[in-house]
Amino acid sequence: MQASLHELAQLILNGVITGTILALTGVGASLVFGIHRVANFAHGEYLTFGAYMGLVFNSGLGQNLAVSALGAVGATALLALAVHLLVLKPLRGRGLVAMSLITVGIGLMLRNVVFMVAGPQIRQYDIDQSAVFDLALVRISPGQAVAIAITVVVAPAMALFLARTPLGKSMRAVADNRDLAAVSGIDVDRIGAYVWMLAGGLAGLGGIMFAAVQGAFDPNLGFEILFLIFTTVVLGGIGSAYGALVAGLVLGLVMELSTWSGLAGGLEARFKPILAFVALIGLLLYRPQGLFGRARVL
Amino acid sequence: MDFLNPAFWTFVAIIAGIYAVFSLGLYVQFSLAGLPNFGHVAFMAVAAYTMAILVVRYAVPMPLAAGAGLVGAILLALVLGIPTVRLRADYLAIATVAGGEIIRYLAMNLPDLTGGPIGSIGLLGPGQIALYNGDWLAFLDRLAGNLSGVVGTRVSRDAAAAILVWLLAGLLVLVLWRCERSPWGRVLKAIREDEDAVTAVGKNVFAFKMQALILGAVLAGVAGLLLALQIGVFSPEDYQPTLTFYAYLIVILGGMNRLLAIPVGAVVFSLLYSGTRLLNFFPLSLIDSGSRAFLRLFLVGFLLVLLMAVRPQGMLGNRRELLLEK
Amino acid sequence: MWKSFSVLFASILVAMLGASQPASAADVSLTLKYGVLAGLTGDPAPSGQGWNEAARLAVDQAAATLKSLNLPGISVVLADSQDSQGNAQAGVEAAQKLVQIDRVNVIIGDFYSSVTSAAATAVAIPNNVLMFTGGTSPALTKLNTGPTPLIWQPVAADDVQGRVLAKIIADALGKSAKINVGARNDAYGTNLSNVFKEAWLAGGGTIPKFVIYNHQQPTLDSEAQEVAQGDPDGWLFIDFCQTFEKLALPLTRTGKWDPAKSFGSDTLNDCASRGSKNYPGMRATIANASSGTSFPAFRALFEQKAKPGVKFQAFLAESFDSVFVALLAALEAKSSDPLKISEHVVSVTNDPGTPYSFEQLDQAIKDVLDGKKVHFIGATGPIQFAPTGRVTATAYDIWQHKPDGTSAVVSTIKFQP
Repeated sequence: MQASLHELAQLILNGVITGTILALTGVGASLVFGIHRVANFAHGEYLTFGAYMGLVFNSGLGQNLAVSALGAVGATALLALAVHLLVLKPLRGRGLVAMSLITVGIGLMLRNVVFMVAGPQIRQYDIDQSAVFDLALVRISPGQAVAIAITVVVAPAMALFLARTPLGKSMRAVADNRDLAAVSGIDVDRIGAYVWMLAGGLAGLGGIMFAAVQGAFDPNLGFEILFLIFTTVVLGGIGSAYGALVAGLVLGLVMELSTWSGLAGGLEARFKPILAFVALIGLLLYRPQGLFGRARVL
Repeated sequence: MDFLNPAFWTFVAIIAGIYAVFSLGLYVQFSLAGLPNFGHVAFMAVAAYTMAILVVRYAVPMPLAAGAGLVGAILLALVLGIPTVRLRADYLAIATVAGGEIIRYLAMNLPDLTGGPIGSIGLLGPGQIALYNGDWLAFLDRLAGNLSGVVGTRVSRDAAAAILVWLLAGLLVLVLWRCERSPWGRVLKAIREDEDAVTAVGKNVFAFKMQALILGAVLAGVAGLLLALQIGVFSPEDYQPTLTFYAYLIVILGGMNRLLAIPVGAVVFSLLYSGTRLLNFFPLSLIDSGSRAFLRLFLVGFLLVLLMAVRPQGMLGNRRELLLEK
Repeated sequence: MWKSFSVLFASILVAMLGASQPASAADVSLTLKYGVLAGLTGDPAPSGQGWNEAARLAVDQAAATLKSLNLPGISVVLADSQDSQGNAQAGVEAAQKLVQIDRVNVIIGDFYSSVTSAAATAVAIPNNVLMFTGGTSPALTKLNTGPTPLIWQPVAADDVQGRVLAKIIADALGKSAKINVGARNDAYGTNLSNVFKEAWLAGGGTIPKFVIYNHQQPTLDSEAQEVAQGDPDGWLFIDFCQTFEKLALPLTRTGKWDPAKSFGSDTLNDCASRGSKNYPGMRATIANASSGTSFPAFRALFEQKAKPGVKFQAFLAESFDSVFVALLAALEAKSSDPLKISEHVVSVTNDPGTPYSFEQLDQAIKDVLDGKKVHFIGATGPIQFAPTGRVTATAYDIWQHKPDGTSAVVSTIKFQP
């Protein structure tokens, strides 16, 4: 079995792209989980919403993909904020399970609204998906190029934001230990709202990236990736933004590279999700708090 | 339009009863032992597949195959439980979801074992339809015949099944009610409230949690077998995580931590879920039928949120108890 | 005296003959209720919504035709469409609702074989309701154990289509060619690809790469890479257009894929009409869509009148045709009783009979009511139901994607199963 460098390079690229989508969406989901103690089962629908908002700007208003991405990010951030203020905050305090079920309900509503309003047919952005950029070792599509560009810009920016800015540091503090943060003077409610906006915006971005990379998408887009996002969050440690960034990339790379023919023929492609879940359980056996989670009992 | 046709509602009643049994299993794990197991549906799947494979491929008699199905569920509980039971609540939730999805993906991708994506009809290969519930249906017919003799009017096969399922559910409620009040039950509740204290007293917390997990798994297995036998056909698509969400809904809808409210929750849930199929009356019939399907699921989601908002303690729950919940 | 006798005799003869004429159109009175069972939400939504629309358009067409013929005693109605959500349990509940509450006579659906078999065994067969399924499992019609079939399968099942594909590819690329296969990981993809594999290997060919992929995944880049390896002489893809796009794009990028050497299942015959695009040179096969001369007319009707956002797909013709077959059989049986209808399904879809398509539905209805034989030619072709419930049409069209992005039939072959 010939295992070429070319194939390996392509797989690494695919892994990085998938990994970044998981990483960016995972950061938002992880912070939300950490701060609000809610497993947001509607998170996938935020991705879908972002992808369709991108379509509105791109095909509907004729904007280029960069502007559409910004529009999608803004719109999804607003959606997340609205859901938080109108539904989740007033209903706070009902416990992990009840709140998670509420997000299930919201997800159901969102998904079917998109189906009703946008229709079930597949959509594409206004870019020529059949164009190919030949870069010596790898060949990429315009959609992938867009995704890589976003990765290169946003991922470090996100890391910097979380590490250096007051807002980022506050978010991490609240996600880490809410009571302690409150005692040290952080306005936990306000930070909570900002976190939802960030999570929404990142989800919207992830949705556009996802749609651009896939080439064609329909309202099932986000739901299909939901459990991989959750896997990323837990793998990285719930509440740890850095953890989600790292875990997402690792997960993406591991899934893609597992199919490399250099690894004794490679895993069959359709077993990739199983690998992700097994990896999760495997890790939790040795590190029950995830890669970067806090090793303490609540 | 025959809205009140008893044939339809009897069928809904059977499904409600099966879900009640399923949710009782979750009650033991979550409400008693404090384990938020989000992969509960996997126990259903393993029990159903084990039974079907044995009946269809090896001609094992149904009662034996059903027993083997329950053993399968227990084995899965051990495999799933040992790594996850010690985890913190939110990690356990996601890890068990992952476990459930692994089972589902394996069922989908090992066609030689499970028939693949087409489900149980494919267990004998693509040229045949594999059916396993012939004996069960014959049994129900005999039961219906006997009941008709006793009651005086004709009892249909579905009605017999509904009675059987609900009797079983009632029996299980009684048994669990006794369990709750037994020393064993009290230890579990104590574990849910303060694990460290229980360990300090010298109890093996891990063992108790595993016992709860296994008991819950057996109940889920029973529900899975009943469902598979009633529908006659199943596929990996029938065992999505959504089913576990439904069980949580039932536990909460009835009333948080209230065993006796689970049948109520099951009925409310079924009315919600099946009742929204009956939307083709004026003025909703003005909406085209394709969009009505989306509207139905939208309504289900909306009612879910509404119920959680308006009555988070469920139908029979106590608001005060809710505030004690972590 | 003989003269008056013969006149009397003749008039009695005439009266007797007049009395034995078949009942005229005004005597037939029935209401035929249809129900649609399909995955309308979630993963199957794009196909399910189309299936529903095709049935709806057919019922509307039938109702309009009946009205124009001034036959108030005969009516057709689509009582409801229920969502099977692509799984057996929801499908049975949906079928129960249609049968017990809406009291339908005919169910159009499901196109998932697992849902169909569950709904058939649990609901349709015990309650004597007809089902016209789009499922492709060859075993579905084996559920018919009664005197006449209740489950009818207007689509060529996998066991036939798989072998047709093997023959077509052998004709084009030689029967010992190396063919890579890429199929979606669901019942349709796995069954059809396995039938093809058996047929292809038996014919002396080889399959260097046999890739089954999860169509819901974010990207199919590694799968595309795998299926492009092994230096094959050609490819076979089994997928739906929307998800095939996810595979086709990275395939093009590998630089090793040649659409002109690729073949697709019937779902891939014309992706441009579904919102994605065609790959010039690629070929796909459909049973008889062009000799069903009404296929273009159905397509035009669908594109004009279907709900916006629901795209046309060739297999929707099965849903469309089934409505008319059920209607004509009911008229010939002069009853909406499903058991009686099922006795006439073979008759109205086979010779002898004047051939009519849905475009001449008025003429067909008149003929049936007058007691004449008709052969309904569907948008899927001559149909030709056998008493088992399966179709026996033997001609297959080969479609090819053109350089300008459209797709058209390039040839038709006959296949003897």
